[in-house]
Amino acid sequence: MYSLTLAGVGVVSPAGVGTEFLPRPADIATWGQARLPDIDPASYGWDGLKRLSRVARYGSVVVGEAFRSAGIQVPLQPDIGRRTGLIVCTNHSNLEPIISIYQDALQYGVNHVNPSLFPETVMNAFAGHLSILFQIQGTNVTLSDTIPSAASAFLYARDLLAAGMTDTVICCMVTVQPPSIFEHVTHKEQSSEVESIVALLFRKGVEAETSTLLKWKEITNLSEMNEVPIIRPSDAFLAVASAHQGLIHRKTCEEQWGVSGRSNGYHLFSMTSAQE
Amino acid sequence: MSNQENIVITGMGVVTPIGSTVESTWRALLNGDCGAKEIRAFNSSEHACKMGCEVDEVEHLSIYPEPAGRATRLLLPAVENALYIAGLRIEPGKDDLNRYGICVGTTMGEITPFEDLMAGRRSEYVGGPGIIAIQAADYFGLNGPRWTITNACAAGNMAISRAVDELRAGRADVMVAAGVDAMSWVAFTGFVSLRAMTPDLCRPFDAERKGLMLGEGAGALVLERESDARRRGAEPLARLLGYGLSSDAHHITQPDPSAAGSIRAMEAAIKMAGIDKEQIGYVSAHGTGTPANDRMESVALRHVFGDNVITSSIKGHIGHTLGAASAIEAIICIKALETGWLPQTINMRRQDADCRIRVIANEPLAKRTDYIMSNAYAFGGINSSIVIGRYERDNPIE
Repeated sequence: MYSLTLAGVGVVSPAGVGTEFLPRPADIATWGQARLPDIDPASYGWDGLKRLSRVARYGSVVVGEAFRSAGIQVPLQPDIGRRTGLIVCTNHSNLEPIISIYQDALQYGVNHVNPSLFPETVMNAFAGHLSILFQIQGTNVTLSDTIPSAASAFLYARDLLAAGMTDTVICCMVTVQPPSIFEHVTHKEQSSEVESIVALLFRKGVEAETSTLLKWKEITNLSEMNEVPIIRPSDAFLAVASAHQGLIHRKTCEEQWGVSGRSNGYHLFSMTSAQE
Repeated sequence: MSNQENIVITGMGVVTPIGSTVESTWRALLNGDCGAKEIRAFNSSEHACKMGCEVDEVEHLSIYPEPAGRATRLLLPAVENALYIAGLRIEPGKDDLNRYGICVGTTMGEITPFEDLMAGRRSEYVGGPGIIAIQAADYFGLNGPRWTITNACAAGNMAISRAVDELRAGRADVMVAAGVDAMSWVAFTGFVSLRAMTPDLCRPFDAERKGLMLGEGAGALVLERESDARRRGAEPLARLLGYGLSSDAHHITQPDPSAAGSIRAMEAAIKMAGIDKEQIGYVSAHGTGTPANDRMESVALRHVFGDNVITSSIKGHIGHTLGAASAIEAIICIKALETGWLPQTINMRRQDADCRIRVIANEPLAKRTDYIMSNAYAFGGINSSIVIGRYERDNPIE
């Protein structure tokens, strides 16, 4: 059983920015096919993001909200930034820019493509923008498994914290639908339906009232998941954000759910208050 | 990472524009062969740059039983060679396949299907970065930890570092750490748009260099805990001693000219390796051949090592193979440790005065060393360094 202390959360979901209107983990699937709404980051106090792609703008908002909810001032001071890591899970966020680079080449010629497009076709551009905006200078990893794996991201974060390489790790999952032209050549094992971008801020040794304790383990006996709701891997970050919201507002004292990962394994998650 | 048991490399395999095995690539490197030629993977007739380093006859590298893209075709033979050299015959039913894992680092992933569709062609392959690791794991029976790391041109080093983590945490007994990228129209056109491509030859650290040359290829290493490797009678090739990772938080494509992040990565790798920086006898440079990268790396090397460091870049030989680069370079470092020859930077005419480091130019250098560092940097301000040490069974370096 692994564990992490969750100290801050930021979410953009079909319900908008924030965790207040998130359904409980068991009910996320009832959203069905739900897309991200159009939001203006400036409305939430995050200015100067217009030059970024939509996904990077939303990512900036959620990471900013995660820092804010953890009471950490941004941009980070150098000594804090060097001790802060960033782990991003994304596998479709570069596909719109790939289409854009072809469209630009068609319109202006292959030698006159807008140079700002290419970096966005590289999967870790998203994390690069976040690191610059917030001055995150520690380990910066982008994971692009076909099945988005919260357990993989959390395990990486746990390793970084346990090894003393970082004091704080932001885990961010980008769940967006692939453009329709690419739908039939993207992996279909377990496609996502609810779009979301979620940032979770984990810290070492924090037991504040606004912190929660996340525990998880891989299971081989599926009967262990009989008593808990099962959610899709792409919704796993949303489930953590939702459970965190319920716990810190004392609506629940514990949440449990399972995540079906098929080729990535099955995981059982539980969350409680960090002070209990 | 809490368990600091020694990690050894027991197998390695490459597919590069100048060789389809480690030995043929190594010989070609020392011979000064250059893989540059006109691009054939796609029509580059209208591009300002037309040269790249491609692997010949990728279509014949088809060992996966189902249709697979160019990146998977490049990677699988490299992994197969690595497992063969490691003496690993993974047998379902006999071996616990959950103890064998794989980390794949890539920049563009399996991009051919997306490029085919955008060019109006049909595609029968699944695309995306993660499919490469799935197909490799499926083919070789690597059912343990599986990671796809997409930190662009540092992805190979980062895959190696994650493999080390998995072994030290005891979550796997064998980890394949690999890097792969296939020649890509998007990457080619993108680097042209950034004015980062050379129209003729790649000349890292040269005063008149004009940029990088895109390449393709794959590199794969088999990593194990030393105790496990010895127990099964494997002969380790080298030790993987440490790694360091950092982020510049400076610019999305340009390195931080102060080199602060690169310096931190190198120092962290040396610290994890438990050696003194003076013991590093050679640094395999990222050395892309772009002025911004070469100058930043020179600043970092001088800061960490002073005037003493010897370095070179093999990107003049095989181009910039993106996510494959640092996996291939790690393997070249192992050959350097094994043979006592350090590979040269080819195409060098006159060294850039702003790169005040000792570059091995045009001819390989005979120099035995016990420890080598390999650097890789990437878009998004990523810095990575690894330290590899010679393996001497009877007199192990601790």
